Amino acid sequence: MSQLAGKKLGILVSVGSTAAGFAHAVGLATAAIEAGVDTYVYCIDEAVTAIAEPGLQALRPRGLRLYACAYGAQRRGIPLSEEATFAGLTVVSDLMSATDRFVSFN
Amino acid sequence: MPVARLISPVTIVQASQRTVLVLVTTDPQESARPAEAIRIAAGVGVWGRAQITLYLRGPAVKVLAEFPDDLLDEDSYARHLPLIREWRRPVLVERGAEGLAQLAAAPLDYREIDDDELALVAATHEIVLRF
Repeated sequence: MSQLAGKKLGILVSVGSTAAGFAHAVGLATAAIEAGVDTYVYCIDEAVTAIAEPGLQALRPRGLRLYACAYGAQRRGIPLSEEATFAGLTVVSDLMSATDRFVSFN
Repeated sequence: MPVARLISPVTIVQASQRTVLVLVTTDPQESARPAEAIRIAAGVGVWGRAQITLYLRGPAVKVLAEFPDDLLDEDSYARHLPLIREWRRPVLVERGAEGLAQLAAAPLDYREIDDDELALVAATHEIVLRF
């Protein structure tokens, strides 16, 4: 078992699916899940337009906890759905304080 | 376990708080990303679990304009800058950034820092968000 198993990783993404940062975030989330890390991704700003991206959704059955900014979704006319848990900045605050490592891709 | 630590000559944070540097470089007249950065900084900081430092670079110093009417999503500044003012510590800005001289009455106290100081600030924060 990986020495990272059981650790917690938070990832904040603020760019859409066409940006390199989004692919990097998905790649990091994939590697973390494969290493047994509890992985949380929060999509904010433009990233809320990419929550349905297949690479991201494919990680959910494997354990990814996926959050999306409810405010950003509402401003962009994106309906609430089962593709993510829609939440506010208190969840970002929780993730920053409760994860072992928190990184951001902007 | 330490109960507090020093992250700059003027800032002491509780050991339970994460230190977060929100670095804004985008032009707020051309993008709404700086407004989102300010919203995130204010919205996360209000919970007290993180010690937020806000740094404005280049055209992002326009965020400190007294009347941000020509900034994209200007309502966000009116709503969230007062929350940042309650931190009671200055916003950091790029020393000599173009536009600083045009600031008459900035809504927040600010302190100019050079790139060496920015490097130190970044190195002493656990999380860096760039917009």
